[in-house]
Amino acid sequence: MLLFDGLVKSFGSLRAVDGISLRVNRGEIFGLLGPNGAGKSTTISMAIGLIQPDAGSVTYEGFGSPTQSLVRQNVGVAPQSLAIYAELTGEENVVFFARLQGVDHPLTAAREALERVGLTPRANDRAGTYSGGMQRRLNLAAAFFHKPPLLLLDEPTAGVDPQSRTNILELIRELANEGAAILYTTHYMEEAQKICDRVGIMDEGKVLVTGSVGELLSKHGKESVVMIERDGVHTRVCTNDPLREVAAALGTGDVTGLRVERADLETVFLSLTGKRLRD
Amino acid sequence: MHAILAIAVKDLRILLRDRTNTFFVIIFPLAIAIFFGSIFGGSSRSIPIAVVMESEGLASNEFAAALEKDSTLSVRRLPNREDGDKSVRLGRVAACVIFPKTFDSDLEKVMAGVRPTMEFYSDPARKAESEIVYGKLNEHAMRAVVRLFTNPKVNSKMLLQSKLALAINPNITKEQRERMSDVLESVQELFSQRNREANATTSNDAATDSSMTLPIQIQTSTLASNSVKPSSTFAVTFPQGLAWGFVGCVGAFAAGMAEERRRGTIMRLLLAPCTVASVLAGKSLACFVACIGMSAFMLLVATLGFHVSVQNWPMLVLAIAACSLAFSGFTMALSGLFKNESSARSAGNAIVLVLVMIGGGTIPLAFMPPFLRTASQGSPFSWAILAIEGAVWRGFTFTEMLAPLGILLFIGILGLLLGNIFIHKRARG
Repeated sequence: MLLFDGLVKSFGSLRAVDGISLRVNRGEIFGLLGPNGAGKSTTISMAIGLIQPDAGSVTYEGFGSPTQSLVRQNVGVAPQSLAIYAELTGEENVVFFARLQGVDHPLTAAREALERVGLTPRANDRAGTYSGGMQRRLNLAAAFFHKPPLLLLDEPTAGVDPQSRTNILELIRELANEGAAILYTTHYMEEAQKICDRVGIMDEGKVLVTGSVGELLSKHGKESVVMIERDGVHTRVCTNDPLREVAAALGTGDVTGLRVERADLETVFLSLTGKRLRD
Repeated sequence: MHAILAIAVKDLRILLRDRTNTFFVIIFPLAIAIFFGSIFGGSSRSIPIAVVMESEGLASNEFAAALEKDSTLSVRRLPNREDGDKSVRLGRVAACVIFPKTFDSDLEKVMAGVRPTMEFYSDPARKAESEIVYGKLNEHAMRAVVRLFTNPKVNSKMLLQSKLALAINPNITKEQRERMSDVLESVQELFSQRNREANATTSNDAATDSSMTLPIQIQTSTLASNSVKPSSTFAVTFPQGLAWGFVGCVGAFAAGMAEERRRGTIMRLLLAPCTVASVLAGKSLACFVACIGMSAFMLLVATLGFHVSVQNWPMLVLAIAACSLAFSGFTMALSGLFKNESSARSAGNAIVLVLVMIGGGTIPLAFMPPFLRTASQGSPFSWAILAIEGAVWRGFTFTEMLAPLGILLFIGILGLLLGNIFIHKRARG
């Protein structure tokens, strides 16, 4: 559905995206993960035609390149920032975007979208009066009201409560089940592990690995995680020999808690990208 | 104390790192100081007036020459009163002075009680300038009389004319005629003595007593033709109010694109299956409609509440449409120029304020130095007022309206083009 082929983008001497090639298929949720500054946002900006790549191409199979009107009609975007008008009601917001998108029955489309994100009871209230979670859901409704075959969701659950998060994640799964191809960026590894069919881990402009969560765990997450608690202080140790770590910890005599877990996506992520702070 | 210092240093750092704030703290005050310094400073300023010479005599020519020499005035000689009136009506001059055919002959009979009259037509929208011109005319009228009495050729002729007028005047008694003749004889003796002294010393334009009744009558009027006069003072002030309304619309919409950027909605707008030009057009349309709505409301209040009568409604509709386009385009240029919402608002307001000032919105153009007057030609504010006044009370014909309308349309289209370029640059940047 969406194909990145050798995408390159530099800003001055900084190579923000360095030869990315990816494919997002119909009915698939593809998680693009990476630390801050990895190049995710630049990749999304190139995917929607806001930035032109220096080299490589973005292709929407069956529609063309991002700058073409046909593509724009068939792509839904939920930006990381809340791209809604606080002065307008929830319904007015979605109706406006539906009109802009050229939808035949904007009001019907808007009401359906608001129903799916659970905002019907507050549809006629100003968006500025919504809670953070409601605004996130409205932001999402403004992305899929026209049932686009491709959705680009940039951290759609940032800063929301567990209830809204669950609603949003369930909805994203539903949209994928209905056949939409979804490119999804997030910092929440457990969220990506739960929802994404495939993930790609990016760092310093390059995609380091791609595959299903299971594939990545078996390939890069052979380690176990030993969680050691000493007087309420937790230490996380990743290791290929958990028994030795447990024995060593118990030998110190000051351990108040101990847990051994299988490696998760976060472990894979950290092992691939390292623990160095990214600013 | 540490906390106070830390907060102060932090706030100063923020101030200096924000270009808009730096502009307002350093550049803007400097610009204001230079602007007002130029206005009230020593550079030459003059009020444009028209002079029409229907009289061919020496006194009227000397009078006109004195006006031309006056640095306060910038005199344009026009061939007839129709041209003079037109110049005032079109706002090219603040006033028109006409020396009627009888001016010189009446002046010669001044000793016999005849008061020569000069006509003075002023622009009702340029009251302050007109008052200055009127004061100048009074001053030069007194000087003209002094010149008259001190010029041997003229005063002898004047006495002769006055004696003749006295001799044939049927409305006075014999006793009055004899007494007046005695007065004239004494005046003739006085003149002879004065003329002899004048031959020996250089004549001097003596200062005149302003409390004296002026021998020359200045007949004042706002415009020559009754059909093009404003119906009331509100007819003059409402066009200016409208222009300020347009400025308000600029303030309300200039930050539009920056607001979209702050909200993040710009991405949705740019991703919609429409062009950047369409986004800009939509925003311009909103500004245009707001300008039209504001104008309609103002005119409703003006006509119903203040009985302002509009001379040419179709022309007014054209003028308001052109003004709305000009200010919408101007707003879009500003909107695309600034990335940050606060910058767009404050710098936008500053630019508008400067344009209002150089457009004559705060200080009459006549008080500005020549370079600022030239700059005022680029301010949509002055053209908007002229176009609206042209339709409301100046009685502009369609041809006369073409210049302001054309310039306003040009400003509007240029603004839209620039806005489009700026927004494209920012969108793709």
